[in-house]
Amino acid sequence: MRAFHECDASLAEINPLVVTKGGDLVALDAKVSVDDNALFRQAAVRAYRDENEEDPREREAAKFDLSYIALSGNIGCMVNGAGLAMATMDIVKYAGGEPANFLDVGGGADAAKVREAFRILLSDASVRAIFINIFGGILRCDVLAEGVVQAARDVGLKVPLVVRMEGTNVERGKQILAESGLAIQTAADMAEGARLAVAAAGGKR
Amino acid sequence: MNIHEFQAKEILRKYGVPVLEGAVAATPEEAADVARRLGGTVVVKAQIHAGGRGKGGGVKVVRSPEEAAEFARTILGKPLVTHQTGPEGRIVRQVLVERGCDIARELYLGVIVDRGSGRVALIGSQEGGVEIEEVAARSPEAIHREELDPLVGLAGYQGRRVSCAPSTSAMHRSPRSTRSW
Repeated sequence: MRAFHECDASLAEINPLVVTKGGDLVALDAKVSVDDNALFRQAAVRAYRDENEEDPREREAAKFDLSYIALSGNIGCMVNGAGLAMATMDIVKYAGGEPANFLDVGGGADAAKVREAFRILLSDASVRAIFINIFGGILRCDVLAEGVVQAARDVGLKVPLVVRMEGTNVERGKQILAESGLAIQTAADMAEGARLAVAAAGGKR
Repeated sequence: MNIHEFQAKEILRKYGVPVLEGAVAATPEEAADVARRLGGTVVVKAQIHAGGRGKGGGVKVVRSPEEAAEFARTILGKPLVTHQTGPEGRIVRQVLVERGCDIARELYLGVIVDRGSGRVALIGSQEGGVEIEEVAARSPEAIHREELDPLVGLAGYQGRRVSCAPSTSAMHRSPRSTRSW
């Protein structure tokens, strides 16, 4: 109990807790999970991190402070805002596709962060199409477009890319994408974007 | 963040929870060394962040350092598939070599954050072991749970209630010890 509290654990489990033939109690197995939000004050637990056990893409994303969760589908999603990212996954599923990830680049992302996020999507071999769904608030559409174009040039864009953008500097953003010479399909709204992405990824599953 | 079994045991040992003597090994030779130092029957356990390791073939009771090395060689560097890893499994990079023990009974004891009630819950069962998930599904009454008041913490009576919780197959037995609360 004390270990659970002092380690900021979310789970501490002893299974089995064995009674030996001699009548003693002993923890034969043990499992502890620690709340990620408390790791800043859990230096000893932090040292236990085993990077081999983590998804390499999630590890890379954590370095750049991106919220990324790997999933099993084939449509890579890049979205700003966790709520819009959830809605994007929903609409991709509704259109008959399977998202390859959850990715929230955050509200205040800069071109470098967008570039790293895009690079992670492109490094995923199971991704057959990428759907970028951005509402430009603090993150301006032109900044996003710059990041996407840079990353596509650096890494090489090998899969179809669908972009739906709305909000601050959207015209400038669309212009940057159009002038980049990259094969980009633009969508007027989320539903159209999801349909295009699913079709580009090889249709419904 | 998840941690390995041997790390969890290091933490528990620090808080006075009895654990078996053992050490982690990354090669068959190291596994044999640990087994030799412990002497007698030892258990070699794959260290991955997933449950179901025993059923997946990642745990073995061995009687000599040679056997420990041999089993370590067969699992180290290879993926171990359990019902929690997905079909691709997880690569075993370390094994925990521990002293064996004579098991009379297997209990379950866990502490979790229960999101439903927003409280920490202490969970106990007289029917611990690798089948705990089936026990929970088949006879939930065999799993006893106490929600803790955040201001009071764990009260003595709650510990006693968990330790006296009935089991479906062992209703007649009385609890042997409550000293670890």
